[in-house]
Order: sequence, then C-alpha cells, then structure tokens
Amino acid sequence: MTLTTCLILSAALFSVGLYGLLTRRHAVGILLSIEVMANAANLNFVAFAHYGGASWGQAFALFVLGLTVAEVAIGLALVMLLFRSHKDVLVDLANAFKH
Amino acid sequence: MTTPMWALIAVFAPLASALLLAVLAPIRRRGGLAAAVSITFALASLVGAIFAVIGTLHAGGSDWTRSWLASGGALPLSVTFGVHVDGVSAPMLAVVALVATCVQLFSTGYLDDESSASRGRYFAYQSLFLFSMQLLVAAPNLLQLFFGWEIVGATSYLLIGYWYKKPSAARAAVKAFWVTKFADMGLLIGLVALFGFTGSFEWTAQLAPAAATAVTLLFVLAVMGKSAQFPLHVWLPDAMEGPTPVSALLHAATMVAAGVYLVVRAQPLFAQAPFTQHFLAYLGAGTALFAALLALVQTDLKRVLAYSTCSQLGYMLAALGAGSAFAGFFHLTTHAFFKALLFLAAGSVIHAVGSNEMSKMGGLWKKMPLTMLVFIAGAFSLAGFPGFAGFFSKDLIIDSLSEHHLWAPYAALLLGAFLTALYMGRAILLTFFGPHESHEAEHAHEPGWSMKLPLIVLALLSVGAGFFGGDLWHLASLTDYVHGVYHFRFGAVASVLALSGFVVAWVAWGKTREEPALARSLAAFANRAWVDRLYVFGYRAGLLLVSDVAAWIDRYIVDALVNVVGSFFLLGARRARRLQTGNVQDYLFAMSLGAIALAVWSIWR
Amino acid sequence: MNLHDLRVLTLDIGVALSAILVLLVDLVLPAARRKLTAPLAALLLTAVLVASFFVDTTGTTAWGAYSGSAGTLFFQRLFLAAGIVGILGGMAHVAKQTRFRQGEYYFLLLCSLAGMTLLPGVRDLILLLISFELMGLPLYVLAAYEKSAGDPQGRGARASEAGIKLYLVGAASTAIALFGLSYLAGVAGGTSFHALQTAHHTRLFALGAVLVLAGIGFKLGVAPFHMWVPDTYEGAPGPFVAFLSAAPKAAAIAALCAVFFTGLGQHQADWAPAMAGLAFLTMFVGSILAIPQKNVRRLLAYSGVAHVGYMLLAFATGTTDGLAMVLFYAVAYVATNVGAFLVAHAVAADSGDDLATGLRGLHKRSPWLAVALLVFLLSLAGIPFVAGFWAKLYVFVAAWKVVGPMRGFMHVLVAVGAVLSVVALFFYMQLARAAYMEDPPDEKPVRVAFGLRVAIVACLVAVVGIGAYPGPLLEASHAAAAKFEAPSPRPIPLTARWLRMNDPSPPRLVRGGFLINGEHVSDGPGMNHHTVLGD
Repeated sequence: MTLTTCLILSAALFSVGLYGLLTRRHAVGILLSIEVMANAANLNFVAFAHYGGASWGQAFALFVLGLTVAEVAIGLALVMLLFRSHKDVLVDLANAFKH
Repeated sequence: MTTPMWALIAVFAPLASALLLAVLAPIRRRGGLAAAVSITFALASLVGAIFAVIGTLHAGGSDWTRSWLASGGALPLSVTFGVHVDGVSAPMLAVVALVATCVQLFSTGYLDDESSASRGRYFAYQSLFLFSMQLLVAAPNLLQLFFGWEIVGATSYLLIGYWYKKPSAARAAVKAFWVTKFADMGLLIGLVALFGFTGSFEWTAQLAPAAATAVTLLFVLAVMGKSAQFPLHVWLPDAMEGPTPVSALLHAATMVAAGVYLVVRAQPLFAQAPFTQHFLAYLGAGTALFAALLALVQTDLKRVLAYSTCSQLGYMLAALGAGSAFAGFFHLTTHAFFKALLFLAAGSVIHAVGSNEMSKMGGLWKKMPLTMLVFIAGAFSLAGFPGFAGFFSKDLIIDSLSEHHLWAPYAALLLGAFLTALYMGRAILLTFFGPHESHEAEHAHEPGWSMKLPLIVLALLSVGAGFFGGDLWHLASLTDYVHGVYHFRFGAVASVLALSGFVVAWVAWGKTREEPALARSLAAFANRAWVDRLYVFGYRAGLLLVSDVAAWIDRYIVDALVNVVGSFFLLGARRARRLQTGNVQDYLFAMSLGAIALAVWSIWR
Repeated sequence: MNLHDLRVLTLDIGVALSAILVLLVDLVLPAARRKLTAPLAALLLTAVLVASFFVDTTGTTAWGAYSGSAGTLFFQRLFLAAGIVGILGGMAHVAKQTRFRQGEYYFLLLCSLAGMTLLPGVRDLILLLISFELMGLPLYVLAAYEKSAGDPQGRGARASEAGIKLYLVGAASTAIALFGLSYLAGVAGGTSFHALQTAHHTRLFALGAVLVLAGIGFKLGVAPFHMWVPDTYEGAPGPFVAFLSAAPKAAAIAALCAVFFTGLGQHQADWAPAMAGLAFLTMFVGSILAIPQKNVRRLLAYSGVAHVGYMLLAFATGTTDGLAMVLFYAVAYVATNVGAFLVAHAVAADSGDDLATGLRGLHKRSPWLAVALLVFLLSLAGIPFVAGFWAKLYVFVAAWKVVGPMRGFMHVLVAVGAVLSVVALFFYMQLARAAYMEDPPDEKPVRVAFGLRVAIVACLVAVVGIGAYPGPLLEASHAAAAKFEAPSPRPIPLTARWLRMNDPSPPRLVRGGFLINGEHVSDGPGMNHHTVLGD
C-alpha cells in the first residue's frame, strides 16, 4: 500500500460523506455523513504522517477526533431542539426562513 | 499660552457651547440659561481671539496643526487640520467673535416673547454658527475652510428657517440653501481640481496660468453664492425672513463675508489669474451699483439693508479684483461693525413697531432717540460720511480702483457711493421722521439694556474703527501676500458724493413721504417690481429652459437607463432569491458546488 | 514553556479565565441575581481590554505555534470591544428571555471570544483548527439560545431553525476545511506555518489551500457559502445576531490573514485569483439579493455579505497595503454593523416586528435612535464622512493600485464594486426613508434598555470618530498589516531544496524523513522547534 492508494481511499471516503450530506434528510444521517468526511481527513493525516515518518499526523488526528466529538454533541443537542419544536428531525422541516 | 492656543479657544469654545446645548436638553430647554451659556462661550471666543491678535502683533503669525488624513501608503493624501493664525485670520476671528457676542446679547431681548425651549434651540444654532465661522476663518488649508463653509451654510439654513412654522421663512431657508449649495459646487470642484493639479489644498500652491484661472473662477462661483453677488444674490433679500439678529450676524457681518474672506485668503491663487481678478472687479462693481439701485426702491427696511449688503460686498470684491487685498479686508471689518449695527437698530425698531414696512414707521425719533442716533451713526458710516469708519475703508477701495486704472468699475463705485447715501437718507427719513404712520409707531419705546448695550458698542466701533486702519494694516501686512498700501488721503470726490446723496434724500423725502418725481424717474429705471419681474423672468426663463432640458434628459434618458438597469437588478434579484429555498440541504449543495468549483480551478488552472 | 512565554498569551488567558469565572459566579448566584453575570462579563472583558494597553504581548510561544505582535493586538482589541458591546447590547434581552440560563450565555460568548483572540496569532495548523472551532462551537449553541417551546411559530422554533442551519453548514464546511488542511499539512510535511512557507508547490497543495479558503469562507459568509447567513440572522436572538454578524467575521478575516498571508504568502498564485473571483461573486450576490428584502435583519445580512466581498477584494491584492485596508474595513464594518443591528433590535424588541415597516416614522418616535440608524446606514452605504466611506475608498484605491497579472481583473472588480455600492445606496436609503419620511404607527418613543443604549452610543462614537479622524486607525492598520507579512524567504531547507533540483532519482519518503541522494533528512515538528516566526 502506498501513499497514493491511501489518498485515493480517503478521497473516496470524503465523496461518500459528501453524497450522504446532500441526500440524507434525517438530521442524524447528516451528522454521520459529516463524521465520515472528517474521518476521511483523519485518514489523510495519518497516511501523510506515516509515509513522512513523523508523528504530527497522529497528533492532528487525535485533536480532530476530540473536536468532532464536541461538534457532534452540540449537533445532537440541536437536533433534539429541532425535534421539540418541529416534532421530527427531518432537516427540510426547518424552512420558515427563505428567499 | 501661545498664540495658536488662544486661537484654538476662539474656535472651539463655541463648539463646546453648541455641544453642551445639543446634548444637555435641560439646559437647552431653559432659554435664559442657554443664552447665558452661549454668550459666555462667545465671550471666551472673543477673549481668545483678542489674545491671538495681541500675540500676532508681538510675535507674528503661527500655526497649530495636526495630521488629519495620513497618507498611509494607499492614498497620496495628507491633510492637516488646526488653526492658522496670521495678520488676516486673527483680526477676523476677533471681529466675528465680537459681532457674534453683541448679536447674541441683543437676541436675548429680541426673542423675549419666544418660548424658552425655542430660544434654547436658537442659541444652540448660534453657537454652532460661531464655531463653523471661526473654523472657516482659522483654517490652515482650503479643505478645512470648505468644511467650515459647509457648516456655515447648514446653520444659515437652520437660522433663516428658525420660525419654521411660517411658510415664507421655510421657503426662504430652502431657497438660500439651494442657491448657496449650487454655488458651493464651484468650491468643491475647484478644490478637487486644485488637488488634482498640485496634490494639496494649500492656497500658496503654484499653478499653470490656465489652471489658476479655472480654479479661481470656480472659487468665484462659490463666492457669488455665499457673498450674494449678481446673479446669485437672490437668496439674500428672502433670507430676511429670519430673526433680525440672525440677519445682522449671518447676512451682514460674517457669513456673507466668508466669500470675501475666501478671496483674501486665496489671494496667492487669485494673483496667478489676472482674468479672474478683472472679472471680479467688474462683477463686484456691477453688483455694487445694481444692488444700490434696488435698495433705493425697497419699502421693507430690512430689504433696504439686505440690498445694501449685496452692494457693499460688491465694493469689497471689486477691491480684491483690483488686487488690493487690504482695502477689501479693511472694508470687510468696518462693514461688519456698521452693518451689524444697522441691522440691530432696525431690529430694535421692528421689535417696537412689529412690522418691517417703513410705511408703518415714521416719527420714531421722539420715541427711540438712542436707536435713531445709532442708526444714523451706522448709516453715516455706511455712506462714507467723512470721519466715520466706512469713510476710510470705502475711500481706500475707490482709490485702489483708480490706481489700477479700472475706470468703469471706478465710476460705478462712485455712483454707488452717491446712491448709498441716498437710500440710507431715505431710510432714515422714512423710519424716524415725519408723522407716525401706525398705532404701534405711536407707542413705540426704547428696548431694554440687553439690546441697547450691543447697539452702543457697535455704534462706537462704527464711528471710531476707521482710525485704526493703520494698525490693521500693520497687522495684515504681517501676512506676506497682503498687497496694497495704507495711506490716508481725503477722498474729496467720494465725500462730496456722499454728502450730496444725503442732501438729495432730504430734498426728496424730507417734507413728504410720497415718492418724489426724482425717485419716480429713478424708479422708472430701477422700479423694484419691474426690475425684479424682468430679473425673475430672465432668471426663470433661463433656469426653466435649463431645467426643462435637464428634466427632459433626466426623464427620457437618465430615468430610462436607471429604470432599465434598476429593473434588471430587481428582476434578477427576484429570480435569484428563489434559490434561497429555506432548505438547509440546498445550502449545503450550493456550498459543495462552490468548493468543487474551487477545487477544479486549483487543479486545472 | 516559562513565564515569559505565558506573557504572550496574557489576553487569551484573560478571556478564558473570565469565561470560567463567569460560569463559577453563575453557579453560586441565586436565580434572582443571575443578571449580574452580564455586567461581570463586560467588566472582565473591559479589564482585559485595558490590560492590552499595558502588557507587552509581542513574542512567540508554544513552540512557535503562537506569535503575538501588533497585528494580533489590533484584532484582539477589536474582538474585545465587539464582545463588550455585544454583551451590553444583549443584557436586557437575555435577562428577559432566558432568565435562568444567563450565566451560560455569557460563558459561551466568552469562550467564543477566547477562540477569536487566539486566531490572529496562530502559526500552526492544529492551533488554527482548535481556535477556529473554539470560536465556532459556542456560536452554534448561542444561535439557538431562546426559550424552547413547542410552538412551531414561536421564538424557540425560530431560534432552533437558525441554530440547526448554522450548525449543519458550519460542520460541513469544517469537514471540507479539514480535508484541505490534511493536504496542506501533508504536502508541507508539518503543521507549522514555517513548513507551509517553505512547502513545495504541488496541485495537492493548491487544492488544500482553496478548500481551507472555502471553510473559512463559510464563517465570513462568502458566496456561495453564505446561504445560512440571512436565515440564521432572521431567527437567532437579536442582540446575538449583532455580535454574530461582526465579531466572527472579523475573526475569520484574522484567520485569513494568518493562514493565507503569513502561512501561504509565498503561494499567492494558489489563492489570490480564487479570492478575487469569490469577492466578485460575494459583492454581487450580497448587493443584489438585498434589494427585495423586507425584513431588516435579512437586508442587513445580505448587505453584510456584500461588505465581505469588498474586504476580500482588498485581500485578493495580496499586498500589505491591501491587507491594511482590509483591517481598516474590518474595524469600520464591525462598528457600523453591530450598531445597525442593535438599532434594529431595539426597535424590534419594542414592537416585536422585524420588518422594515417597524422602522417607520422612527424619527418622530425616538429622534436620537433615528439619527443613530441614519449614521450607520450612511456608513454602510459609504457616504462621506463616516467610517464606511474611508473603508470603501481605501479598499478601492488599494485594489486599483495592484500590479501584476491580476491588474485588469482587479480594475473590473473595482468598477463593479463602485456600481454595486450605488445599488446598495438604494436599499439602505429605503430604510432611512422609512425612518424619516413615513408616519409612525404610534407616537410612543421606543424604550431602549440602558445597556443597549450604551452599546449603540459606543458604536455611534466609533463610526463618527473614525469618519472624522481616520488617521490613527489607518496608521494602526498599516502597522498591524505589516506584522502579518510572510517572512522573507529564508535559506531553503534541504527538504525543499531537492524539489528544485532536477534530481533524476527522486527522493524517497522513509521513516523519520526523506532520503535524498542517499542522505537522510529529517522533517517534522522537531525541525520547527527553534523557529521563531514573525520577526
């Protein structure tokens, strides 16, 4: 396995996440898709660091993991709020503001 | 305390007062307190100005400036603000502050039947006006002068429209604003052109001859508006709708003098443009004669004085056109005193009689002897009666024209001198002599001390200021570009003309209040209605033609363009806003498209 | 790290400690006294702001990951001032709407501020990510910070919509930026800006740069990443919107300065044209879409988008002069926009109406408020002599004077920008006309809470002050911009040197570094250990 294969894999993973981001109507599904995109980046970090022979990539990935946890926690709280006010968690229900 | 510090006090004390009155509503609403604050700060300004004059006499001019717009790399622009104290600005600061103090004191009596809140508003405007005028006078460059000039215009609008519930006052305020605003464009464009040519706003800039002529002609346009020169003088008579003290301060002594002051200040620029100077001489002399004729046939006392102001400003500009900055400046100072005096005395009469019309006055000399005395002192000074202040300065102007062999303006000014005495004689006779023409005139009485005191101070100055011409010359000559000479020479011709003017007035109006045959024959030439109508017709026809053409272009070309472009934008906007669907996934989609577009660009560029 | 190092972070630590203190005080205060947390937070921030004038924070710390200078100080003072004004302006609303959760509101606001104060000084991609998120995460919560009720039309539902939209777009853009960061760091072989400065240019690197630009562009509201802006502004709590519309945008500008100017200053060709293109789109979209808006907040939201376009225009010049103009613009924009939103909030809080009709006849109801609104609108429209005029003028001048291949395009952009500012005049003056020319629904004066009044006056003073006397701010922004300049090219380290040699045998990546011509070269964080940046 080379660096290039890793980069292609992570690009594919990112695209999968992006596809989910644009097609899932369910809020939790969208959150998961964003997680997939973030992890594609993580894969890059680790791969670059591994083939570059330095440890900064692992460190970066750990920080990203921590941050995404915080982000998802807030996201779920907002989804709860959405559920409370709109009785469902389909994101296209929140469309009072437009144009 | 250095000289510039005193000048700073002179400039900023009125600002402090204006801010106090604007921000602290409780002070403003109590009219008497507001008046006290305003007058105190005006006095502070006067004291500052006097010390600035003394400092200049002892140690010459000096500056206090700070960088206002730093060039900062991106813009090749460096402008300073501050005060520039020299032999011209220091005495001017003092004159403005002195007249303003007198006028404000006078106003406390004049406006005693206004509500106290509206008096507070009046004094807030007065303070703001004084600040803007001092800002203009002390300006170290033409840009700051322009700022002062604009604020002066705005406060003039506020003060003319002080009785804003009176439709004629509101109209007059708007008219004054538009006419002067139109003229101010000349100053603005001139300044931009000056900056374009030289990269600075200094009046000492050196220009190519053609550029100098263009810039100064643009300045002259602004001067014509502010100093009420033909044909832009139309706003001044209407501005008499404001309270009389306002007329005394703004439309006689200071604001209208700003135009003349600009020419004095920018003398180094004007000296580079002989054509402009000639134009100025003829313009000034023409206006001096024309306005004097109109003054002769007015029935409204304030309008007589208003046209007289146009006329006298014409004298000053004629002197400046002849290249004698000092003669113009000297007349500017003496005129400030005696014209303010005349207006305040007229205000005292109007306050007592309750009307501006001279046909409602008459015989007031018994009821108001002091007012009559000071009015006559002012009139004699204005007419150039030997020994009075105006005599010295006016003679200097007429002399300077003959020295430069400008014979046509010279003749016009001589004739103007005769007419000045004639219309002032007529005004005195109609106002103070003959029978009482109205019930109010019978029961008129002298005003209180708050109004008498300023009258007396200004009367003393109107009588005596002329003897200090030598000192003023000494002061002004500290400024290197003030040319001209000061020499006292008895102007026999002008004196005889002034005396004969009074005599003719006595013959014509001494016994009867009917307009005599002489006046009628003059009126055939300069009948107010006729000239005004002709004038209004010409002005309107010209203006209407221009405005019709402009309106046509505006309606069918500019509007069409604006409408097309506008509806293009509006339609586009209406279409485009539908993209904002309210669904967050569409936003994510747009965002992804954007990111992908960027990615594609970065890889395949 | 020693004490000397911590001094560089004084202000950031001060803000963070303030946040914790506010949370602790909130814990011990009885419910009735919780409104004291607002003045406490404002006071603490004021103390930090005052401290910024006495503590010397220049220097580099955290192993080169953070560097304090006049440039960071410029931004930090701006954030602190915006924070203070934001807190004062929101006091009354927060106390009324969320009585029992006041402390958390200010805690979150201060956390976000702590992230902002870090941003201009970051010199490392990890720290950039952390501080960007520290700024962003609390904003998601604050956007939804209203009483939550079941009513789908109620304030709570509106705020939840504002929050979820901000969150989803924000999280997605973070993911995109993260992906870009991974390319940047990977190609540069390290996370420090020094590594970026010396990185060899590849397509992957350029791709990373534009993805990071997209991620930061979200926070700025750059078209086409702007679509959350109007919706969130419409639904989120009023005074918070005033803060959100200004401070995070300025912080995003700070991040742009750090990343693109300091970090990628030597790779301008990778981002400057893209930024110019985005500037064009952003100016255009913001100005055009503002025209048909009836809701004051939506209108101001689009106008804010347009203003970001002007800032990007100057940024895209890539010159220090241009950057100085961006900084000047940022200050003018923050003061004006916070003020305008606060006035709109004051009127809406009184009448419960966010539409432009709520401003009708304002000058008869509250003349001073109307004057303030007029001044802010004039500044937004760029009329002399208020702050916005100089900002716009300087930006146009800086963009006009750009030299190089982008010159023609920049001239077109300046022309477009000038036309669009005329278009903008139209919708700003519509608001002014409503306030001055139309009759009020009722003659009652608008009740403005004390803190809100202070905040509006502060903005007014700033806008008028900058307009009357722009010199000092101009000098300060020039001094600050100079500090963001990328250091002049240093002796190129070996890792980069091989890339410039036409070496027939390409280097191989091995554990612990590169193998170049048989010579082992280590790369990674260790290499940057002794690097001092920004000097």
